[in-house]
Amino acid sequence: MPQQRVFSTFLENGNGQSTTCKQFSVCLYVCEHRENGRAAIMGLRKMKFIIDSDLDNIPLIGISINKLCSLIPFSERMALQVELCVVEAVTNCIKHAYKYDSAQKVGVGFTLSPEELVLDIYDTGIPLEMEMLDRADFKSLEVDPEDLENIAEGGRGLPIIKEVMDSVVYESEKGMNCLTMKKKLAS
Amino acid sequence: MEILEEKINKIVTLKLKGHLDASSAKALKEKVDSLVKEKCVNFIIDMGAVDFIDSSGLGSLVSSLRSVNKSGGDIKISSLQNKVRAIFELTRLHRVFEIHEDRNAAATSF
Repeated sequence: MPQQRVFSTFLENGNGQSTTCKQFSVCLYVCEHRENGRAAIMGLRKMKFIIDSDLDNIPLIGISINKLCSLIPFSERMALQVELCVVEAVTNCIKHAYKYDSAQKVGVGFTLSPEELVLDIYDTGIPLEMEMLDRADFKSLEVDPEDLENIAEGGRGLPIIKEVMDSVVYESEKGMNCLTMKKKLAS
Repeated sequence: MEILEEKINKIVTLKLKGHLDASSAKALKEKVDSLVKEKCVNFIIDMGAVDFIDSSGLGSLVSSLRSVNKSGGDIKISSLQNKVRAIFELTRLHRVFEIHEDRNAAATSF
């Protein structure tokens, strides 16, 4: 599916079977392609969640992603770190893109292939400044325990994501923002 | 997240249960701040029942430690689950907080 089409449809109702409640929507579908008129499963397993941009929904999405990670040969620690990255990304959407406006939507895509896990976090709020993602690295997480006054209370979300994930890409186009995080599966 | 409070020998233990994330970080910070105003300055944060923490939760702990330190007190962390300890280590904050195996060890360290 071309990226632009994903952008334009993600925050609408999905193209698969879905169950919807006020705050939490789940859409399940399998990705197919056709060869000589016959559908062939590509080995992708996909799920997407759409939540209201309310901080109270963060544990819901985190726990859901963690449980989905049981499909993957990840350790409990890695599953928790993947959950952490999604929670950080969704929190950033709510805090920074939407400025705590709980009437908006955040989308989370979970795509599992034999090679990698891809997590897409969508919003339609204020785009992230690209320099912030560039600047965020493991050095941002270093602390001097003797200098408590200068230990930041915030700003660890993006450095954590870049530390845990193998690839992090941010795109903003026509009012839709997407943070794509990839983690390779152990062969 | 639930916060249970217990005070023994001028040490306040806050036993947390659930997820310490952006949805609950403010409640912890407000709890510590209100106790500091009541002249409580030495805290044990028992995190044995915390199964997830994010950067907002960690930020509330840093902020609480800073305000408690200014009042001449300290915060000791106890009973971390291994997976939560891994997040402290990922963010290097295990170097900032004194972390103890259990509440008794934390209490005797004051």
